[in-house]
Amino acid sequence: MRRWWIPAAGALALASVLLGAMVGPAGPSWWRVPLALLDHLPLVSIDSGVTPREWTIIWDIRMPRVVLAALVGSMLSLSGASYQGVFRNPLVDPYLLGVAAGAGLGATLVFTLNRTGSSTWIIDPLPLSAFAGGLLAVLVTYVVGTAFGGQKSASTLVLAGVAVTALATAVQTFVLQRHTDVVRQVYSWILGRLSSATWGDVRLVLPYVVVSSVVLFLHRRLLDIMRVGDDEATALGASVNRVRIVVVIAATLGTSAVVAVSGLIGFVGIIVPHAVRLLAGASYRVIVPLSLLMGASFLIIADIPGRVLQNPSETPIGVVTAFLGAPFFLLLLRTRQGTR
Amino acid sequence: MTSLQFSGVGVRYGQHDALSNFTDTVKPGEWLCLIGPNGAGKSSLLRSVAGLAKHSGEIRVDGSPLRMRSAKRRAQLVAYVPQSPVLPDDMTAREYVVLGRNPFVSHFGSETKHDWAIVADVLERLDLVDLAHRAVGTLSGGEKQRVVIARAIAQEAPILLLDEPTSALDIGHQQQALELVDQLRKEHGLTVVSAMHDLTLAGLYSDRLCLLHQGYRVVSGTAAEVLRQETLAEFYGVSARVHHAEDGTVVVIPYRQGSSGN
Amino acid sequence: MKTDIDTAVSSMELPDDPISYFYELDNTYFSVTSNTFVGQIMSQFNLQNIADLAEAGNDYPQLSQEAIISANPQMIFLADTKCCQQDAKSVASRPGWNKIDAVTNGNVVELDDDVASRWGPRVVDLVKQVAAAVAKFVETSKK
Repeated sequence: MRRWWIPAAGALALASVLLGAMVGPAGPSWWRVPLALLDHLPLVSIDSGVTPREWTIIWDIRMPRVVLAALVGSMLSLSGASYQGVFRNPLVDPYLLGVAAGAGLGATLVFTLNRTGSSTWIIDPLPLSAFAGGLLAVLVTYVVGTAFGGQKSASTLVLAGVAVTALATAVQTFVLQRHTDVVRQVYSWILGRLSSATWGDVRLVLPYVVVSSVVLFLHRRLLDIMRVGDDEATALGASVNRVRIVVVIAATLGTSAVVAVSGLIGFVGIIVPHAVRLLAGASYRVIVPLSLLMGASFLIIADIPGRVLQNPSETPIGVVTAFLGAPFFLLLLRTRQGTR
Repeated sequence: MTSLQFSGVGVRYGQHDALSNFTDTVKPGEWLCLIGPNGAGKSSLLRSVAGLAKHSGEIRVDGSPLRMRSAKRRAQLVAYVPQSPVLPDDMTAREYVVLGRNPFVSHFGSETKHDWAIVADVLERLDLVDLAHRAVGTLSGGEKQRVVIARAIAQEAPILLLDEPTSALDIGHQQQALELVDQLRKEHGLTVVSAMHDLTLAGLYSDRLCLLHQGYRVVSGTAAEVLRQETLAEFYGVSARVHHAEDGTVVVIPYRQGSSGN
Repeated sequence: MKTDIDTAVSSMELPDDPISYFYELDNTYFSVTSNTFVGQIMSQFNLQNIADLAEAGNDYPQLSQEAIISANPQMIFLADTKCCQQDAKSVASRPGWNKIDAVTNGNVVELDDDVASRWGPRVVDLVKQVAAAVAKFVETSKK
């Protein structure tokens, strides 16, 4: 049953990484890049004609950015697919339970506090605050969602998520209104950025993405069982609430980590799983691995125009994904019209 | 074959007692059919066995309490077919039936060859092989019902619970589905508990009827014993005659007021 | 005030060739073109802004790191020392930036955010700081 999807997606992901490394606003000619990369392998020596400054562009600026794009893209897509599974709604995104609003608020607070001339911190407070904000928001959502009526159903969680998002956004707006001088910085963060990606960022994010991905991957068969509803899934022997909590925790952990480093990149978490669903069917055993791989390719490729179109300046990645998002949903509308 | 025993089982939703003090023993291999007006507690009783409703009292399978079992272990003993099963449009019949193997698949693992073999066997026996790779949303009502029953059979559970298995089917498919259940029951030695609205069919297929009313067990016995004009009038509020056919079938025939009565 | 600026400029020895520079507004590499008032002050010192290559119309473009490193500016002016805690050391520690001439030659100038971003009486301080930096550059490049 279409076993070639996954290897094909894997090959596409590798090709995207290579493409991302070869294309850029500055640096050496594109064909020199693979040569330079090969040259730096332990036992290989090739004259690629790349200067030290050009190599620094490839290895210190471009590669971490491409790798980070892959990690962020795959994590957001995988989280989106998993959320869609536990909430049984194909239009859900990884920011559903308040991660985005919480992280945004955390980032805003850091930007505003910095202004008052606080001493230099030992660790960068921005990703930490965004990460904590994201996690806290989901925690509050869960507490609120289960406190009222004690029902742990999917819809009460979603409602709680809406409430928490609204509250966090309101507080953020209020704070920004009183500190208009940081509006540009906050807005730029919200639009998402891969432009300052370093290998340090990659190392920071990697463990969370790996742990989260492994957990979510293990749950792919269970997500299929959730498709028949909480009642029947329970009658079939699945511990529905436990699955939901674990999946939400894992997805939130990974999403918060990537949001902390790359800001709020929208649409990826909906577009990719949905496109996978249209292409390869509705079974989560397929959607989960494919979303991971295609998400990586998607964001790497989506990042390319932002880098080269307005040379030497950049278009934030969040703008690019938004431009892709709108036509995608229109296309979705048209195909649904056709099938009904 | 497995027995199912109820001792003082009650189900409460908020302030309302949907089921009170239900005590009964379903013998191994028996087909018990629950009848009674809407709100009598039939669904609540079935849901309590399936582990979907909190209940007081004790439910025992072959003597040991069901309450102690994990959800997985319970699913290995009890297969539940709800009144309106959720059939995801874009799931294939084969994918849907294999969900019934979940009680036997390790938590993070995948189905084994053995599991898929059982699925293939069940699909064949229920005449679903041609529909195996079709999306469930494209199937007809009768085909959907067969797929749902197939999933329950794939569970290989000794107890089968059916909540209104034929309400959405036409008369031909009703008979087909019930014949199928009876056949599988005999083949696998299943103990069946069903809830049905159609009294004639209920009497025709089950070994014993149990009448529920407002959460209480009113009377239990054979179709001839339970389906009586006065009983039906009292608890259903229906004006109906009961006719005993030559082969013993008890037929419930509603009549209209004003037409010639009995 | 204009006379103060003119005095500062004319009192020093300007380099023959324009000196390329990067003006950093914040740590996401927002910059200013020479159309802005800061840019115009810089131009007086025969400084050439690498952000001018950005599309016309946007006076506050965000530059990509690749573009900055590739342009290899000879001087870097930091206007984000307060808001974003950037200084010569933090710039040198950015991966890849140690290949930029401004960094290797120690020509990273730390400005005061408030002085650098507002048109007011303190502009004179900015001009003096720029003049001193340029003078130092000319001195060290003679060796």
